[in-house]
Amino acid sequence: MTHPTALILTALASGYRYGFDIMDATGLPSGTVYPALRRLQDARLVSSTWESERDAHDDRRPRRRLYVLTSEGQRAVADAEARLADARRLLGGQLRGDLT
Amino acid sequence: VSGIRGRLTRIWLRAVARLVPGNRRADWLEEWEAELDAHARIEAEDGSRRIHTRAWGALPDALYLWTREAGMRGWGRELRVVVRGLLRRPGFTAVALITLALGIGANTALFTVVHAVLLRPLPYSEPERLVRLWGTQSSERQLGGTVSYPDVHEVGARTSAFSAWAAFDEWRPAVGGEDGPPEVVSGATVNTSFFDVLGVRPALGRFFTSEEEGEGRELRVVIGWGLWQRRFGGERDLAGRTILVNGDAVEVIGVLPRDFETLRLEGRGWGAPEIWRTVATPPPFRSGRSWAGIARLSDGVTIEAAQAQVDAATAALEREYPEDNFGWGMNLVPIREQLLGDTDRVLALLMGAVGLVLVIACANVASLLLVRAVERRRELDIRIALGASRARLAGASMLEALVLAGFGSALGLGLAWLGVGTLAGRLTGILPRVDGIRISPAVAAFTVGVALLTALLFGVVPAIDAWLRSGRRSGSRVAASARGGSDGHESVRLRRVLVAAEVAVSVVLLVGAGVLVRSVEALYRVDLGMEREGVLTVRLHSAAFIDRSPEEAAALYSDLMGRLRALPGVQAAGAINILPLSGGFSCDGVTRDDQPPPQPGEGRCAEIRTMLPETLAALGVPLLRGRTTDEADHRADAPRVALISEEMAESFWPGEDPLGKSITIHEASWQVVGVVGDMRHFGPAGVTRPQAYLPAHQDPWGGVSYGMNLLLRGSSDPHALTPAVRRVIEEVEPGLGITTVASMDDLLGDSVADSNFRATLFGAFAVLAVLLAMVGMGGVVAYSVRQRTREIGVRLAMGAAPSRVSRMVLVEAARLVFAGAVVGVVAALLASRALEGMVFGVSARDPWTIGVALVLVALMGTLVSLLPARRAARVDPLRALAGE
Repeated sequence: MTHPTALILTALASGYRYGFDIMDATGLPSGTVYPALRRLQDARLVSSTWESERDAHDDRRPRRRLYVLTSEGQRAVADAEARLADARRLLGGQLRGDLT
Repeated sequence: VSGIRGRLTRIWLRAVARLVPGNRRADWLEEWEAELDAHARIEAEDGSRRIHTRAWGALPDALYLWTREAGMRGWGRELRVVVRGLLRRPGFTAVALITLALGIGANTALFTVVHAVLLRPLPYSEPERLVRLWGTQSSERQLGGTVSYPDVHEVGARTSAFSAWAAFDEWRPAVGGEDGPPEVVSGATVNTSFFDVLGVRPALGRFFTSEEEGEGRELRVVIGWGLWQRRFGGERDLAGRTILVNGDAVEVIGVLPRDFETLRLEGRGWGAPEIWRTVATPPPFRSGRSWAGIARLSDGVTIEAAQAQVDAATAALEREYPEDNFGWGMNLVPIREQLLGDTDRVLALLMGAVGLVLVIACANVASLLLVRAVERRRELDIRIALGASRARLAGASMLEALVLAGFGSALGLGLAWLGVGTLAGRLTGILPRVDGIRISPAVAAFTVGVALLTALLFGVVPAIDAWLRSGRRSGSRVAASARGGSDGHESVRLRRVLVAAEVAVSVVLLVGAGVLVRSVEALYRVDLGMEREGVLTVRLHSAAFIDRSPEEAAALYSDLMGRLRALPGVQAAGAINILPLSGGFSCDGVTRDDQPPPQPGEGRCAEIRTMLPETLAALGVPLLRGRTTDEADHRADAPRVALISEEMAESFWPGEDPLGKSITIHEASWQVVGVVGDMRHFGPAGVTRPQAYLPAHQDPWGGVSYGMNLLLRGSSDPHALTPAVRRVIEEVEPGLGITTVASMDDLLGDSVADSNFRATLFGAFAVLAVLLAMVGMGGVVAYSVRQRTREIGVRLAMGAAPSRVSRMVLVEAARLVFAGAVVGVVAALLASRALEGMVFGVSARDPWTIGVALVLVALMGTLVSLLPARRAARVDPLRALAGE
């Protein structure tokens, strides 16, 4: 998993759902975020739907596309976090404080 | 989004949206517009202006979707289709892969040799500045010879051409002996500057310092990596320890790195040195020319400028020492040329040959692919009708070629890996630097390159075929191919051209191989001036004679030869200082005693050999006039007598009788008592020169005390004598080591080994080429019969005799062979220049060889056409017509 992909997954897990919001949250350019979202969709880690007309109408703007983690995507994020935690534990003896 | 910025953004998005696949375009546009709109609102609130940069991101997004849809994903599917298609036709795939593997494998294997020998950098610092110094005699300028020790140093000191120089000479010590017998190894005596000149660093310890040279210094040695590993197990603490050298404890000061390539004295049957010592006593004789010189050119000095300086220095030496230096000059030879010689030409020739084999392999696979293309026309036409683009179809065809080339080269690399070990083993002693022959990353890269090239070569024809076809109006084609129409004629024509080309290339290679094989035969047929069958040669280890007086050495030989002659099966036994077929040039000055001494520069020389009684009888050299020497002549106190060769008689006494005349050789006077036949000392292709044979015990310059080479004439298999000879030597003197035992036939084999190697490898490539070409030809003829089944059926139904039908097929095959053969002969005549200088005793355009090549190709062509011809004769007319 590349660093941008990890960032995007984390942003999605934190509740960011629109493409441009993910850019704001991660600081990544649109030319990176969108292809990554397409790839994640192909890998079935992310799914997308249009938001309801009603929500858009309420905000008086066109409807936007929503991206959410699939259950597989959630597992992938959890796995990645678990691996990171393992790494922290392993390195904790020497690097306590640096990574926490 | 409003305003100009908004409009521009919308135009941009719509333009970029053209890249997005049609079925997703509307959704994609809506998403991007909505996002930008939402963002424009935020920007309006916080005043940020990032919307432009965000809009640029639409391009990578659209590109990604485009490549995924139209590009990579599509090609992935195509790849699966190709692989499945290949697996469905295992016969076709196997033939194509084996053909490619053989072609690519042979090329890769030979390239490992080219890479190791020619392309690998020499392991010296700035090797382009290193030169070997060769002695030249003005009377025979082209001959390279060794030089005298004082000359090397005086030329070095008198010019500014060299930044460093060194002399070196042969040394052959026995190493070890603490446990088990010592090993006689090749070594060198060098100046302490030797390793600095080369610019190498020790792998272990250090090299010599300038204080370690000269009289009274303790003997210390540097050893090679191979010897270190072999005898000392690669012990890291060897430097500083002592080892046994000729029975004495001697300190090893350093070990050379693994990739060091040693310099040897060519043409003395001397192996690559593995141990080095310094010069203890600088030889005072200017005329003793047994040394080799090496030098490093000063910074910025070209070899031409250096040669000019050296010429001036040797001219000065000639004036100062007219006695010893008349006519002697020095020739500078770049180290690369010295080490590699004409290897680059030989390898280029072989690489060309093996490249032609690959061309044939490619033609074969192209031909196979064309057959498939014809069979797949219907599929192709349907795809065209469904809207597949030209590029797509031509690309798919190339993809198939790439897949075949990829797997073929993987197999080829495997074959090369299997073959390289054997090849390297057989090349030792024939080519320099063969120890570096292995499959390296460079070799693998070469294979990949070759694979791409072959894919291009054999894939381009069917790809063009697909391209042209998809360009035509396709509607009628689908209908035509749906009817099973036979529009394979143009492809059959193309395949015939390919096969004729294969035959032509085979003829070229066969002629080349034939000429090379005939030159090896010619080399073996040369009259060497002796009877080589039945002669055994034994090199004795010269170190055993170092501490003996000439009298002791003479007594030892007398005892040894007496016992050898008494052995059953030995018809004659002698000994000579330099073995025939394995020596270098060593022209020594000769003057007639009845003429005034020659002016400097006008002296003449002859090859001088010293010998023991019965030597010429053992060699089978005929006595033409006078008498041969007998036991009475071979005593130190007997009057000095010499035998001379016929060429020497004619050159020194033209129109006179040399018998009874006196000559001066080695500062002593000798009476000519006999004239013997000319012997080819330097191998069948070497020159003959005036030769004189002197009884060794009478020679004031060393005689037998430098050790001799035994010559025994036995029965048909000289090697049968070896055990008895070894036993006798062990009885006479247990410390007398034997260096090598070889029959005269072995020595001849060694002297023609390079010709043999060229002929063998070229021959193997030619055989491979013919086999591949015949596989291709058989395929084309068989396919043509299958395609014409209906026509043949009609002919048979109309009453044609089956024999007539098979003749028709054979005639078609004969036309292919004929066309190929005509082109091949012309090409072979044109290519014959490549063989110049590599053939001996036969013309590179030898008509007899060309004839044999043609007969061979015709026979093979007939052979592979017989089966399809028989099948054609057995066509059942009813079935053939019903198959319609």
